[in-house]
Amino acid sequence: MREAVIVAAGRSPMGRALKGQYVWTRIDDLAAEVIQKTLAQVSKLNPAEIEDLILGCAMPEGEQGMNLARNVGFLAGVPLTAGAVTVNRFCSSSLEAINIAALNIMAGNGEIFIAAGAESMSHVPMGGFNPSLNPRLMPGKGLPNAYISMGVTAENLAEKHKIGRKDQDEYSANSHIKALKAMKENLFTEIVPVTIKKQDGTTIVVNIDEGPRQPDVKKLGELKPVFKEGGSVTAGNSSPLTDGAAAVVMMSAEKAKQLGLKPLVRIRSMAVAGCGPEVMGEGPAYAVPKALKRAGLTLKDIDIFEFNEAFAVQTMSVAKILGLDWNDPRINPKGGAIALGHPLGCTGARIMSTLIHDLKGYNKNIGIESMCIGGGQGLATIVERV
Amino acid sequence: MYRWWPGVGHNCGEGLINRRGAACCAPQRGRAKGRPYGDIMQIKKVAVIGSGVMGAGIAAHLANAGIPSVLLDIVPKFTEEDAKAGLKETDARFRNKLALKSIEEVIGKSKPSLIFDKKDMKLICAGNTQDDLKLLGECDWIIEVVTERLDIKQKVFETVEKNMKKGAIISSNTSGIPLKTMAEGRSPEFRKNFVITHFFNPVRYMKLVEVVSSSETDKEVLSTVVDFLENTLGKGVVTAKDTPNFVANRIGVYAWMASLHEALSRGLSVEAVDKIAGAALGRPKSAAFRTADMVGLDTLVHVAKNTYDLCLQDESREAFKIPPILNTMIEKKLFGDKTKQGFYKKTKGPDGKKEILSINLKTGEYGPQEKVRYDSLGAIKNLEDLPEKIRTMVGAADPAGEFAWKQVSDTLVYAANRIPEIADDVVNVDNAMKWGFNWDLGPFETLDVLGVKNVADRLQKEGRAVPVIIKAVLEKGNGVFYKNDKGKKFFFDQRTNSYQPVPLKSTNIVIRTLKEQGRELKSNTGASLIDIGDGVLCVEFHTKMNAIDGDIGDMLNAGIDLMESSRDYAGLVIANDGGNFSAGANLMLLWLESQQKNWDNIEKLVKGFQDVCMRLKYSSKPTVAAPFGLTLGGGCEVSMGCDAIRAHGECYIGLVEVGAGLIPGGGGNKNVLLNVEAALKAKGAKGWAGPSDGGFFPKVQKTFETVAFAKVATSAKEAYGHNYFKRSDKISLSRDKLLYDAKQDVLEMAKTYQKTTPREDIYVGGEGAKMALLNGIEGFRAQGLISEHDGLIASKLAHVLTGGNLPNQGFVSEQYLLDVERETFLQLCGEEKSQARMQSLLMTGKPLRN
Repeated sequence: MREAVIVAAGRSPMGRALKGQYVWTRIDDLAAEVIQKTLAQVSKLNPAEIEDLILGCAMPEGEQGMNLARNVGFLAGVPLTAGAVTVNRFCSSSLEAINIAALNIMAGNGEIFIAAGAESMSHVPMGGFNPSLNPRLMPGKGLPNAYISMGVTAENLAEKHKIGRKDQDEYSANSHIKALKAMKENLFTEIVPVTIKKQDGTTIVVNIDEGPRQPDVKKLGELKPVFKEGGSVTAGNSSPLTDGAAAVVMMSAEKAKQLGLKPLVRIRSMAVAGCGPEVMGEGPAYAVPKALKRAGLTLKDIDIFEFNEAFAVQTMSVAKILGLDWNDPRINPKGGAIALGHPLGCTGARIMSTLIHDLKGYNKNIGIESMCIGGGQGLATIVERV
Repeated sequence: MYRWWPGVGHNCGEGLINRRGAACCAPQRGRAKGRPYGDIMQIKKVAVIGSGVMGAGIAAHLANAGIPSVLLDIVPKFTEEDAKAGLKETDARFRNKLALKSIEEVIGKSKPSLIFDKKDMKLICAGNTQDDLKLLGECDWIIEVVTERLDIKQKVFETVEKNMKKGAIISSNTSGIPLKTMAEGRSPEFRKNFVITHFFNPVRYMKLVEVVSSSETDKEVLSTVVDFLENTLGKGVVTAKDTPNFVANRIGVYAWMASLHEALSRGLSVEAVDKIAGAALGRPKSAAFRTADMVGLDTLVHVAKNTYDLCLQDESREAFKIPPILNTMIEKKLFGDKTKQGFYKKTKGPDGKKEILSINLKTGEYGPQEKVRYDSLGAIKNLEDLPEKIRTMVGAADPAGEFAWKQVSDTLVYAANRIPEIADDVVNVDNAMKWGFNWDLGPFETLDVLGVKNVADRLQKEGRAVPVIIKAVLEKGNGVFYKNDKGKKFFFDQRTNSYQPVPLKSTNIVIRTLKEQGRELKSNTGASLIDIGDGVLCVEFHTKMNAIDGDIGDMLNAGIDLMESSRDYAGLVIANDGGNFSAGANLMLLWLESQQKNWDNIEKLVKGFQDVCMRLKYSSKPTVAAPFGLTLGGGCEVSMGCDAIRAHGECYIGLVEVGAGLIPGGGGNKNVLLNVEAALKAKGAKGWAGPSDGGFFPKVQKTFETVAFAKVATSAKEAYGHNYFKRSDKISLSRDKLLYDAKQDVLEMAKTYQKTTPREDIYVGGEGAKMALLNGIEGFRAQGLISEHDGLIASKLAHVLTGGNLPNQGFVSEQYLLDVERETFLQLCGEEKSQARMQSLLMTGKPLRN
């Protein structure tokens, strides 16, 4: 089997949804620019050889509907000879895009792929514009509770794993502190500057994540729980609504060698696992061991864990089940989604680009990315620096 | 995360006011038709100089009428704080600071709000009196509202004259400085265009504006101002003479001072006086001392001193002398609400409960209030008729009765002696007190109620002088100040010792008068059908609180029958003269029937109501509702049922059924849904990618939020945002002119009216959308924001809005939605907890959250 490698990785700065830097910018324009700038990092590549553009998006309707991938491809100037597909595995959509690209490369179904992700939570509400739910999947009908609020699943984890409010707030504060430190040290090298529109139609270039801020632990502790009366999950210890786009360029190791490109990482293994929707946040705890086994590795071999932080308690639960200390310095060294934000379909590729630059920046070798998924799943991918 | 509500809307639009802080010229909008009377002078833009409470209130109310204004104040001293805030002395943001602050705080944070809709704050443009004088040249009316000092006012007018455009109108909002002295030094041209327009606080809510002119005032200027005040701003104009404190404050402050002196001499407590001299005498509940706290003691004392100093000939001048206790209170800055303590003081008791203490008028110390108990107060408790109440109070022999008589008679005598000194006739005095001090009856109306002769006899018996005008009405008139003749109202005019018609504009259609003129075609215990002329019918409700019942339904049907069958009628208006348009359906009836499980009766009632609302909309001729004041539940549904709404600016409309454990049952759900659909379509089509209203869910979600949270508009303008009004519905600020405007709407619509048929193509979401709503309701419940029963009611509402048991999204008819609504309404009537909610509202007036 051939080896799949990533040769370029980039992401837009994260923007706060509904009031941040992207509210007047179309998400397809943003994704196209990120893809263009990421492709530009590997100028030796002949775009005509791109097989497919695989783009993850969790709520593909409205501005991000109608096979967003194809339209983004047009906007980015990807040759018409390449294909384009939008994939949806909710929060892990663009990690799924990376995995599909890897599988195709491994199987010999193409040489060069773009895997990307995009989500405007400003312009497309979670749940979509016209939700229609199956009555049989509502609570109390004997089938899984498909539409359970994500916040309630987080409350379930807090209860199940006995993780208290104070610990959650502390974890969240740390996520911000780590992100701010990384910003100060210019470690977010994966960011590509992007052009945004303002209300009056004029444009400016931005390159800063809007999410991270100096945490006020006292204020964090005063926030009201937002999902359950007497609960512990607040706006402060959840990932905020965010807009963003990210992309990686992938190819076979042979192709990279042929082009004289030095790959950033190679894909070691992948895994997906399912669980109950009411504890969907545990997903990574079941996917990670499978991926490790397939790569012939153990937790000790992993230099950097990039776990998505849908909710503080969610990541903490995963660490706890895996037998890790959630304060383990190997976990999210530049902070996570609590600070940076979680633009659903974008985050998988966002984290991969961050992980790749982590490995380089901290001079490490093996990293794992894992994310939980609404409905009850976990997805994991292990990469190794080349 | 799965959510069916998409969080808050985008919040990145322009600020409410010009954040640059620079004086801007707000674009003129609305009022496309201009004024209806074809006057040559038109007030399109106004300048308000002085941004205190009154200036801000006037600017806000101009905005309520869609009139742009420039609000100017002085440039303040540059302080360190300004520098710290990053301002420079040359920044407009600093130089306009006073006016900007006034817009942001006095208007923006007012409670109750001075402005109908905060979005209209952008019609008010902040500026300063140094840099922005050129803006005066753009204004048709310049109102001076600066501090009450003659020298300052004169200086302002000098500046105004240099910068105003030719022909602009200038007025002062002074409460006491003579017109003549303010105009000293100005040109004849200026003096021709100069009047006093004295507004009352809070401007939005107080109907009174006293207008004072001089012999030099141009007649057209005066009529333009009066017309603008009445028709555009909806105010009531009292023509006052150029005497200190004009009409309302002169008499009102006298009445207040008289209460104070009497309280002191009789040793009555503050709270006792307020109990006796309030609702019991047809005055506001806040009576004397609570009112003083609200107005501000400093203001009252200022007016009283002013009268004392200037009215040397006043026979009751001594009453305006400030007693020592008042001086002490002024020294201690016990001004009332603005300094948090006055005659009353809010504190927290030892148990943490809120307690309102009152001041002891002898010691000046605060203490707990006494329980005020008098036989006379007990005797009037169950009286509903106000004249009866007043007669009982002043006739009672207990200390409360004695106080009431002395206070009332002193005030009546004082008012009677002020004619013709402060106003030409009794009508102006009565109106001033009703509109400026919220008295239910003016002094001369009160005299009629008590019997003028009775009062005169009692005064004589007590050895007190009987005022000339009272003698005149007894000797040369019919012993009453007002009389009715064939629906026309006349007043006793002391100038001619004869009865003259009370001026009534042709645009002021009074239903009671029409009834007296025999224009009532039909009547039952709940409603009447009246011919209001020009081929327009009017259905008038007259149940208690104008609650809607079967009788009202019958009359609406009778009105539609007559309108449709007779060529004489062009259309129909629903309006009434009451205090509120309608407080809702007859809940007592519903509760009783529910308790007795008379489901067939309820079904019949609801079906009848739904049917008549559909008839209103789909009859062959136009129907217009004219709501004002409380327009709740069924009142809201009747209004939405009509082809169009012509609402008074002060219309508090909403579907509040959830509070009674129910959902709307007269088509309200459907009509809000259709209004939302129309509003979404108007926002712009989404192209080929989706339906023009955004699909089945957004409209359902918006409707759900409005009805499930029982949103009530705090002004007619807000009713558009809540989708109780269609975009084409209209507002009048003048309550007096509301019925006239509604009638004109009918006549205008009748010219091109085409009968329509009920909709068959309402796209609803079916079960899938219902589940999405239920998911959201569950989220609210989990957060503890709503109770179990709230959740049940909300889920029933979701059921109705998504199309009942419709298995999937699809098209349904209006009648289909009404049938689902009716069935669901009945189910809720059968819920024990819903019945408990109804009972609570009926017995305690308070909603029950069970």
